[in-house]
Amino acid sequence: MRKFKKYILISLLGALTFSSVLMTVVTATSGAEVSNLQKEEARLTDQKRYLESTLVATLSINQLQEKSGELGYGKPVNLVYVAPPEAVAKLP
Amino acid sequence: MLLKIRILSIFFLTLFVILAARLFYWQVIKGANLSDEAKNQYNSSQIIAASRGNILASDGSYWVVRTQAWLVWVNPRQLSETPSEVANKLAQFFVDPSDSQTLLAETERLIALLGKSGINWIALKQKVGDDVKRNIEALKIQGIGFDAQETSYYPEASSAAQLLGFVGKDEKGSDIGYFGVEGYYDLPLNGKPGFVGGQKDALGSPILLGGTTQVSAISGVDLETSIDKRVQTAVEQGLEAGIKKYGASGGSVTVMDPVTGKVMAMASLPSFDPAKYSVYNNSLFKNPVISDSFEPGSILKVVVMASGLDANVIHPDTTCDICGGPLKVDKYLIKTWNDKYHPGITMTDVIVESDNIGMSFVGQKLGADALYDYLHKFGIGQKTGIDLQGETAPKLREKKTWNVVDLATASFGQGVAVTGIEMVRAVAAIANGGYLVAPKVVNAVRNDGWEEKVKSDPPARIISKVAAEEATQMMVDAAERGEAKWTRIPGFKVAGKTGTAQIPVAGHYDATNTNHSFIGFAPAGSPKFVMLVTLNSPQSSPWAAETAAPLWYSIAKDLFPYLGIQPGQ
Repeated sequence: MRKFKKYILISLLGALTFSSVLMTVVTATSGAEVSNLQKEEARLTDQKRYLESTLVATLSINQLQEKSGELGYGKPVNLVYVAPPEAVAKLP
Repeated sequence: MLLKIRILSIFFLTLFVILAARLFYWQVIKGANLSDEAKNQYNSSQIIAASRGNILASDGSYWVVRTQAWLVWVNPRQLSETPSEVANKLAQFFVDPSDSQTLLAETERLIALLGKSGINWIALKQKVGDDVKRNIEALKIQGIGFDAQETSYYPEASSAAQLLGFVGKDEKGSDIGYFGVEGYYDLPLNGKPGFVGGQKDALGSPILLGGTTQVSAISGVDLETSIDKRVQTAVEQGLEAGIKKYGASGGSVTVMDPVTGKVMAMASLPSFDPAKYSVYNNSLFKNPVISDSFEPGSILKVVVMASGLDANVIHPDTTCDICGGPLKVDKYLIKTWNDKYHPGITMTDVIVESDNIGMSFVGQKLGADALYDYLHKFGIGQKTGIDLQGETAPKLREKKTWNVVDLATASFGQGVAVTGIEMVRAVAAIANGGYLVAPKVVNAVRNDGWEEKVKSDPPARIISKVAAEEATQMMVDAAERGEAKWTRIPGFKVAGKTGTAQIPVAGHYDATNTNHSFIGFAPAGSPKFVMLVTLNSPQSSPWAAETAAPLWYSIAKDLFPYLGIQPGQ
């Protein structure tokens, strides 16, 4: 019985030692992984901002005006307002 | 033998004492410093910058968007090339390379910076774009590095510059908003920086077992303004053309919703480019509509007339019994602008003819104290509280100190100083039926997932509805029959008034230059906008009816279809 207890104690100590080493290795690897993810997040944030500003620049009213001018569109020189014709006789 | 043992004992004892003393030195005397140095090697802390909020137009498109930029720095100790070689390579990316003088100056600046010895880090250029970063990286210059920064991008270039303001630096080198919306809303736009602290290994990767402390950054709020890009563009293009056509030294246009007080457009020329604010003179940064005062001249007559109508001392058909000729007040002789006189003129025609004697008559009927009270009610002499940085308001002369000359001149807009926004607010009260509104530029603030409308106090009634309607009708008659009638757009019911004001210079009036203005609203019955046009010292004509008035109508012609205003309304 005492011998059995001894084996259990040794196994438990071994398992704890192994898990401690394993945990250290895993956290060290995770640190590197977290670092990579942080860099990737920063890169994607930069890219998002760049794309946003490109989109905003493309849709600016100044640029649209320039492009529409190049395509031959311009402001109407004169607007003519048309009044609806007045009824001259009642419908039956 | 014993001696040898003693010598050895003394030797080891001495060694022990030396060791103990050294340990005491490291552990006790230098212990705290060494502990700090060790912590510095594996502890890391970093400020997380809060991104500044964007500024949006009324349709949700961007006036200002914050984007990525880079700070270019150098470690001179790591440079493998001479300072002049590096400077020659970099200068072309920092300034316009086609301008040889600027390029030379920039090269010299960089050589001076790169030649500094004993420094590990020198900032070379702030806020360069991604393309510049890529080009410099391609040169593979050792010792050059980049830090991420935030910059402001203006999709509409210099449009609405004085209204928006710009982002500059404070004495600590941090970003701070100056002037306009950027200055007024600097705190909410800025947000709150965060912090992340933890331990890092030799490669810079976080040590998760060491634990981390993190306080998230709170990004600045986005501001949704009431500034309409299409109205602003129409106003700026019209103003630029008008200044050129009439030979003015500058000018301003303000468009506001008279019912809500929301500013739809505000433009002044000359102006500046907020992306390159440092190359412009400081005098261009302030917004003349809210910061500069001027004598309003005849445009103030509608406010004084509305006051007389509200006080019941006159009516539209009241006749003037002192209008047959020039009016002598104390030692001064008051004349009309064209030296023509109209005996028995009605109050409506006083506005139509812009008759100074008729207005003096209204002033006399009101009396100095009542006129002061009404001007005060209309907000003259007080800040409007518009949410833009830099508003000023010249005070009215103290009550009870007005003499008969002050009363007479103030009644036709002389001897009183106003800002453009004060005049717009005062006339808006006539347009909206008698309520004094608070001009506002920002409609709402928003951030991730929430939005809050900017509230303002409910407008207070300052004159009766009847008085406002009667004053409006007088302005309609002035637009249709007054000196600017030739420029009106047939079919549209516009209420308007011209103003040609002399410019006070060192105690007297400038004999050659005048400021011209036209203020009006449309459609007169249910106005969708009130607009003030001012031109500084136009040279083509001495009368606002031939400069500011046609400019007002040419801008209004663009606004009518956009705002859904049709003939007959």
